[in-house]
Amino acid sequence: MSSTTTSTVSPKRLEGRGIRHVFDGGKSSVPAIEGIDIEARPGEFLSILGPSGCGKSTLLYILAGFIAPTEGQVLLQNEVAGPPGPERGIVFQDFVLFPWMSVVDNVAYGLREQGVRKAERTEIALRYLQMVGLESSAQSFPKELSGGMKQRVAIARTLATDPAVLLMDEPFGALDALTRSILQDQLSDVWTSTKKTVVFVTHSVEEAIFLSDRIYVMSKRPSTVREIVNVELPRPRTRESMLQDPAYGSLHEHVRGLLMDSPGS
Amino acid sequence: MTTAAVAAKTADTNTVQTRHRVRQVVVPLVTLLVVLAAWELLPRLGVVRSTVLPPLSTVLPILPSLWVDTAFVSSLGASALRWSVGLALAIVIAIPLGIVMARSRTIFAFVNPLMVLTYSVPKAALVLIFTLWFGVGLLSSSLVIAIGCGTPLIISAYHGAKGINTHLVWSASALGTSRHDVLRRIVFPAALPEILAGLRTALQLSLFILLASEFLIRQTGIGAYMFNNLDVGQYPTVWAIMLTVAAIGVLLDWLYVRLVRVCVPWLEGEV
Repeated sequence: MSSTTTSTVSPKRLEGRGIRHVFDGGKSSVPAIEGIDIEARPGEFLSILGPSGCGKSTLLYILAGFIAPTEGQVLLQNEVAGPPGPERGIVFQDFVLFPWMSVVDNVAYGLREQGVRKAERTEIALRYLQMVGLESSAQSFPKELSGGMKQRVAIARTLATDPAVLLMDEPFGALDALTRSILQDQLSDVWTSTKKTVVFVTHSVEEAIFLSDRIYVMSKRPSTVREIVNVELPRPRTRESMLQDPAYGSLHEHVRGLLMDSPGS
Repeated sequence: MTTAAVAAKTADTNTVQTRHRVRQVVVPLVTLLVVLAAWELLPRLGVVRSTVLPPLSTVLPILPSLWVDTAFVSSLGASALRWSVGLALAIVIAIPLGIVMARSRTIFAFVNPLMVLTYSVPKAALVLIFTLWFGVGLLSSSLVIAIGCGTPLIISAYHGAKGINTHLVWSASALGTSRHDVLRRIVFPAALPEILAGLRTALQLSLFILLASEFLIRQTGIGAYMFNNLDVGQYPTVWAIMLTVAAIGVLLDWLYVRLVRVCVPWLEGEV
């Protein structure tokens, strides 16, 4: 991973205050999120960890501005965040590249929307593709790429617009174990070099500990914050050094316990 | 790899390729030949009367003479005009309408009753009504084709736009695409595979409606020309016209597949 790509936007604080969300299902309304305060500090890597179906993705979509919460508000650097936009970049689990565009056009898409001229945006896009090691696939269509390659393109596409906050919804959940660990390493490097605020949704304890500064551990539905866990393992982290660190073992045990219904059992 | 191994491998690939070619080319040709042979032999052997089915060898020689007959050529021209106007109208109106219906509940509620109404009305009945209203000119015949082809186009555009991944639209809006631009930049291309499938149905349907309406209102066009020949007992000519129309249908479908492959290279799966 080269560090040719430097961020010009300073990282921002993203907050959700008093977030409550009820899915309107006609006769029966299902509360998904029950009063959550969440704060991602500028430049921090924050994970939202919880069991499947606990509403953590919904919380992320609210922070991104895709879903309006039933109650509460989202603040970006102390101002009410409006509709979704390039300040809050998003990466989904299912990649969702634009299949009708070549890889380089996918990465350049956000820049085109900002009115960046073609030559310039292609140059920037190629630089981000180089960062994720895919410059040789620039002219391919998404259908020609593997799952891991697609997700790297999606990450490059989101980073190309230089968002102040990077939101990631279980981005490696659909990948095989080996690809997943490679992409975790790459993401860790990208975060180190760009120092963006990252909000990362996952259900993997290992992934959350390996990547994060802090972890918001969520309860089952209706979702509340069970505990905010500080990850004080030294950086830069490697998988090997982390697994040998006795602090990792007890941290893992603790977080796993929080995810269970009755902690300590 | 040794030279012998390479040679063996090449031979293997060749066998596979040959088998592939046999399946792709030879087998379909055999089917076609069987049909043509039956066309020739059934009337010749007296299995069917040659007035009902003239042998292929009496039909084929008529084909070149058709193309120098000005009545045939002008009929074909009249049909081509009303067909292209009708289909173009359907494409220009139905596809955007279907997409907008998928994105706006109000517009859906507004348009859907009209859709259900025209869908259930047999298009042949519309031919008579439109002729009553607009006369026998280009307008009425094109309108029938437009309405007939519009239905599968609206439905495919609607389902195509309705079924797209929400994350695709969200990704675009997080990259700075406005709500207004999302329709053109994201929803339309994402729905295009289904729209194209609808267009293929519309193409075949358009030829059917064209001929049916020309059989009903026997003024101009290839259908009227065909019916006139039937009236005077020119059965081999009728068959020759039918062969021509069928060939045009096959040609249009072939053109459609070519165009899709060239214009939409990102499409997954078969066309």
